[in-house]
Amino acid sequence: MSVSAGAASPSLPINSPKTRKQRTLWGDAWVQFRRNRLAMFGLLLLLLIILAVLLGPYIYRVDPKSINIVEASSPPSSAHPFGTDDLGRDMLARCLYGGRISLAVGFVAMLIAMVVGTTIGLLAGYLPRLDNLLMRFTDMMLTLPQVPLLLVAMSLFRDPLRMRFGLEMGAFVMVVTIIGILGWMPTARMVRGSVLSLKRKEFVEAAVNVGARNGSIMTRHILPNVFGIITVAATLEVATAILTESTLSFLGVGFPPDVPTWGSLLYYGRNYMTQFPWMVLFPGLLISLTILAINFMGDGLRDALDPRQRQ
Amino acid sequence: MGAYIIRRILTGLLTLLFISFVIFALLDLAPGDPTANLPQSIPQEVKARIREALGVNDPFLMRYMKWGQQFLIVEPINAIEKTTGIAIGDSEGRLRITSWTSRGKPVVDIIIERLPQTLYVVGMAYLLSVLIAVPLGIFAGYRQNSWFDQISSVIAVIGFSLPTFFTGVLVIQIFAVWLGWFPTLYNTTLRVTSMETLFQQLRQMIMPIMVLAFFQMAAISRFTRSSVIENMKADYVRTARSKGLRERLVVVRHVVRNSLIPVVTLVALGIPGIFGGAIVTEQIFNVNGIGQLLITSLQSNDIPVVQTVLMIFAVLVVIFNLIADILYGVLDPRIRYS
Repeated sequence: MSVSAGAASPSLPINSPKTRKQRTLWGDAWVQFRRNRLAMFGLLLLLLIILAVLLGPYIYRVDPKSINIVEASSPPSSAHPFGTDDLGRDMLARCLYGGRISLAVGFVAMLIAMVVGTTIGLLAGYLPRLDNLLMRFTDMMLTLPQVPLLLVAMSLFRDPLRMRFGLEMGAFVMVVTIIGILGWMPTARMVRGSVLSLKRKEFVEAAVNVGARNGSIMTRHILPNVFGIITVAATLEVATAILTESTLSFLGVGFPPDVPTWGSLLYYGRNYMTQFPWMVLFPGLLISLTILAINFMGDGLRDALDPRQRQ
Repeated sequence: MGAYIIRRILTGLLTLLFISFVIFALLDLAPGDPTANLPQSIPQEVKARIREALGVNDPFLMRYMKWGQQFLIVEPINAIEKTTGIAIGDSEGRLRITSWTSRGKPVVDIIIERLPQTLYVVGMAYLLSVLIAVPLGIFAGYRQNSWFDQISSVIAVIGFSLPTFFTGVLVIQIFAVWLGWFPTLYNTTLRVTSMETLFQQLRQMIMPIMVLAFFQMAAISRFTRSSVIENMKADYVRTARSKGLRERLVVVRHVVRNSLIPVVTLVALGIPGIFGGAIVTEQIFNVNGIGQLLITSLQSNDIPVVQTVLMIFAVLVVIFNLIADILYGVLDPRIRYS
């Protein structure tokens, strides 16, 4: 990163004869982050879940879609650690496979939201002509009733997209786009606020004076400095997107039950909840743990990247 | 203050116009046919005439205006008539927004039937969560980094990380199935007529309220806490302390009062959001409120009901935004003059 915080000037060899190791904003943030026990716990838990979901299917080689009526609805055992569902499909394999989709939805929706949010926030903050217009638009988008609107949009556009991209891909494209489009507003607001104050800093003035154009000032001088804010917003947005996806699937308008995601597994298992609780317990636990891990991490990141909190 | 309120109201109206347009356009793009649910035996020409009579073939703007007129003028009059019993004008001749599935029943009547269930459960839950979360947040913020603060912070993060559809399912499994304390299904036909039925009603409301309140409490208490922490560092608190004010008075009269300003607006802004959140809770516990109405009408492609429910949500959002803005202006004079 181009920002270096508090690098001691090398011409003052008071108590260190050797030159001190250079410190960066992100290096400092990492030191700070590591001290936060909850945040580290969140990071490790999240890494564990990601690893399990990515590598798990290669180690635990059970087909998530193979039906085995003989072993239907068996409780957790050594053969099926998470039990099986009413058709005898292995729940662990389904959870691992579904986790890939759920996490992918979270990351892609976050990327969409961040790109849109950062662009709008940057433009609104830097160009006064666009500020009012863009921010009024953001405010209006914020007042849209999110959950109901998501429900409606999903159930309306499911079929056309499914025809276009196929069952699984169609649902993915739709879920990700809609969550992304309805999720960029908080980021835009935060970025704008930060840009407004950065714009008056000396280094921007210097860039203007040497004749840098608006575009390059925005991307090379201002953008790297709002990256901290974007990182925190991005982390929390992943959690929100995963939560929204599973809510929609749970209500039966997200992914169809034959595409296992954590949310649709829960939706499918709900009817069997009283007899075979493991069908809802494990997917629900995985969603909750993932979101919990991300939220702990996001809190830690926010504290670590905020220089006012440094000790 | 007057100019500030007028400006806010104008913005609110503009927002409402924008939202209504988005909702109308979104549903207009949807493939849906009002005659889809009619019997097969009706010939195509008759169906075409029915569609014509319903105005499906009119130009887009025309339909938007007609719908707007019905929603903003005709139906509110009907609602007033229904609740007060006073007849206004020609109540039979007015064209009403009717459902496509429930045998042409007016949409507003359906919603009025469903509203109380939602309000009881959602309203109680919100009230409960505010009453618990605000004192909790104040105490945690006042004793920042104490063990109480740390435990309540962790619980708060857990609270809004656990999705309601999971906690709901868990609560049903534990309290209804294993322990048998509460009924597994919400009895929607229950009428409160005696002490016994009132008790039954309360008993079946406990689980949904518990689930919703736990989720909302987390956000409110965290917000209150950070607001208190910010104010504890303020100069006026140091002044109050140094002039020898007792600690109790410093906290109650200065810190809490100022910290609650943003909390009040957060609470007001959260009210429309809880109707959205209640959709999930209603679905899990089978409460036949507005949220369930929205889901069932979506499944049966009943566009007029979906439009109206969405519009009601939108109106609620705009109204509570307005209330929050005005409250903020009243409580914090700096806002009014900026």
